[in-house]
Amino acid sequence: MDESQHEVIARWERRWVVFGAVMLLCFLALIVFVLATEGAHIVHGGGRLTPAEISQVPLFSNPGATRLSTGEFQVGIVAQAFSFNPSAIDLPVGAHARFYLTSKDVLHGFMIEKTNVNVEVIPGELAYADYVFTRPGSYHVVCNEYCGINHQDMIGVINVLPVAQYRQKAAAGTAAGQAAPLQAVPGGAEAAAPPAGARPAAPAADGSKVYAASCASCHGPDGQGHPGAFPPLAGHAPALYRAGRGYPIDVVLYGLHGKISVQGKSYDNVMPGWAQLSDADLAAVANSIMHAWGNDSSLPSDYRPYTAQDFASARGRGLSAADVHAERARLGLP
Amino acid sequence: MAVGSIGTTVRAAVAWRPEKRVTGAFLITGLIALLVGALLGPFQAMNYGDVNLYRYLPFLKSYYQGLTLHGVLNALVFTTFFNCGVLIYFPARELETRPSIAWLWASYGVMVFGLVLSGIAIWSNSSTVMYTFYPPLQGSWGFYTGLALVVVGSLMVAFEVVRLRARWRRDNPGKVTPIVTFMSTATMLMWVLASLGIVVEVVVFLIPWSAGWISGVDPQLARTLFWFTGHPIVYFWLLPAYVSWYAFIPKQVGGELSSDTLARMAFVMFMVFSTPVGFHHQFTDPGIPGGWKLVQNILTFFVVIPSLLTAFTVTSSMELGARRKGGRGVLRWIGKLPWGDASFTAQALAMLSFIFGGAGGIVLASFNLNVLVHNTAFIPGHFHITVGTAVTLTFFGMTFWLIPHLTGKRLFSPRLALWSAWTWFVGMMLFAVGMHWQGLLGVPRRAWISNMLPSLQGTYASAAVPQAITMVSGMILFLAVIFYFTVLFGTLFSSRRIEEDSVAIPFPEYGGVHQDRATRALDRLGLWFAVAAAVVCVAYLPTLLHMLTNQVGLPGLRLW
Repeated sequence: MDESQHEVIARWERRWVVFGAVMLLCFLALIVFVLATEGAHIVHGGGRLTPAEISQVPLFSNPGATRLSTGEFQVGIVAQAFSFNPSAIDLPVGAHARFYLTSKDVLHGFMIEKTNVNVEVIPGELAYADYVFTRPGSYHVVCNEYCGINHQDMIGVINVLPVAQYRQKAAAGTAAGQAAPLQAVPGGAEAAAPPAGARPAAPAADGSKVYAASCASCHGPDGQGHPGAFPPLAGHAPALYRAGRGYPIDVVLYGLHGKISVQGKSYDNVMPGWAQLSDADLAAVANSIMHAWGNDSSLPSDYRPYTAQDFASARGRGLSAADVHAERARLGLP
Repeated sequence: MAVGSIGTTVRAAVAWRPEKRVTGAFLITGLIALLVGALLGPFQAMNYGDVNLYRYLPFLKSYYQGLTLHGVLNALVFTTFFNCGVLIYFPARELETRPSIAWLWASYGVMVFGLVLSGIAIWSNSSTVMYTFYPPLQGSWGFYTGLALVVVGSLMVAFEVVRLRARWRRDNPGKVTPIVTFMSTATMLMWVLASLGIVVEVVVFLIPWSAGWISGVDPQLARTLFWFTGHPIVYFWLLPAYVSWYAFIPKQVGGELSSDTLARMAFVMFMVFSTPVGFHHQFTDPGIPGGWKLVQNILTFFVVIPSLLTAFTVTSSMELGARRKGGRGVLRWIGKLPWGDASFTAQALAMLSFIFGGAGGIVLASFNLNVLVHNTAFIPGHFHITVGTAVTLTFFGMTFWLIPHLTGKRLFSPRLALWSAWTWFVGMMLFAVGMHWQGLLGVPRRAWISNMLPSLQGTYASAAVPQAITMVSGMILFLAVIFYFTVLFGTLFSSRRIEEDSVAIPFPEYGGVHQDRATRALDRLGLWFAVAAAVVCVAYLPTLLHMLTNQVGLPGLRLW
């Protein structure tokens, strides 16, 4: 390379480096500017919260949307394999929402499509992020962190409704994903929506809908489970009933953790408890499972369908998922 | 600079056979891992075209198991083996000094043993935890131990590279390290520092946890340790490609390296700024303070500079070569580059892909843009044109001369080699378009979207067009895999021998080494290593200390 070439290259090289540095500085300035002016949607840490403590925090033991006295919405959401609780949430247009998130089991993602909300939901951590919904519509909530075999089915929805329609639903107690007002979190209790006050009697629960929303992601839409990971309920649920009518109630309320054997296959996994669902929903889904997929043909002659009262009276015993596993062993189930 | 006049000079080509054999073993093992991983790639691409072909793979239990295998083999195993092979061989040849062959075979043995352990664990579906293996999802102890051994083996090779350079410096006082050795040593030193995170994560936490000796691991801490290594590891993959671009490509196109000093400066910058940047993978993590995320955002932008330098220096070196061959005009000289040479073409296309990959990387490293695409299909779109093309296609290009050089076999069908480079490039670019686009539409990464519940089908209906593009790219890439490995195995099993060392290593001419002050200052790699360690401490220690003293240990779960 001769000297003139060398000089030309050196000159352009300096220009190139200056150009690159200026470009990056501009990018950085923009990043800092946007963070300072509109950075509210970024993820914030709310401190540590172990999975065992989740049930003691009203935000998560009674998850869902709560309208605070300031007019803002506080939305508590618990992520667990493979659903968000609650999985469907109604909010009014213009709602300033602060989403509080934690995980009961493994890492999950919480991404609201078409928005800036994207949170790594980590067990042991409390996270929150803010968003203002300015357009009505239905927004998918997607788990975007691999969490297990049915990760792809961990999809929720936020329905942003016109204000009048939201008020109407809230007043009628039919708005989805609202925290029960009587147990609303401190600070928001007195002014919490819905304005009608106490939640009216829930409409008759549809067990198959509850199943599709909460159970199907692991046990399968047809109750076949997933070989090696999640046991089937088809052809199996009646055996649980025969072993002890109260046992399925405990599994559903408190979960199950430990090695079990179902129809000759062994499973070593964890099922979360579903105490956050209403007694009516739990009874409906239990009855639905007992009758679906031909299960009804092997129910005992003295079979009594479950009632909401059965679940209500089984609550409050503070069992762990491992306790339920011990109960299973006592009943002689493999 | 006369490099030939060194103490332990080895002149006859035939005398290099032990080095060639062990290097060949590293390369071929890495490439076979790539073959297995890459054959699963089209199944992954089909999934992102909403077509579930996994049901036809009875030996794999799920898409997720296949994806774990694909990621571990391609991103971790292939790259590490390939790097270890070339980063010891090139310095040995440049310095004409002999590494400890027994030590290298021992390193190789440790890595292969690790590969087998991890492979068995993934194959048995006990460790479908992805190559990021975030706890509390828990794989088997064999999975973690195997990966740890692969890293240990690579550090053993790093030790030998550093030792080789130290010995040469002792025998050649006052001389500046030749450039390939300089780059290789800088890369290995960077890896030594960067691997600390994953070594602590796996050895202190995950292996005892998976073996049942400790009951819990803190997920946020483990994730942070993982990304301590997880970002610089991409520079560990990339820098051997840069060695080829800086040191070999100028010779291959008939030009010369336009600036030796700037090339060295780029590598020193990589050493210093590669590691303190992992938080940009954790912008959406709740457990890391926003201020430290911003600090690492800024440090990530520092590490863009050496890549910008590389883009300039490498391109100007190629232009010098093209103009010497009569190239004219602002852009017309590009036509004078040796486009008929598969080794050059593969690497030029790799560079081209890295322009887009690098731009996407700046997007991802930006605190508030990242949130739009974090953990979406955008991410695999990005790293398939960085590690998947810029690195892999460069490695392909290197093998087109390196495998004949090592084995003494003639390259099988240079024309098919050219085809493999182009199909890989086109396939990956299309894949990147499809995946970036899907990510912008909110399709998550690592999701078995072709196997969703019936009630959820149509969730990603708006992504139909990019899904179709991704699917087509998978088919093209399948062809590229067939083409490349036909060339590779065709060469290896060929009976057409060429004369020993008739394919020479395209080392640069040494006339260009300036023994000026800047070059001498850059040559103090030990000092730069200390600077790198200091920057890492500033960027990481406050956060890591807080995490280490506030751990929430959680038990492992198996959810697949």
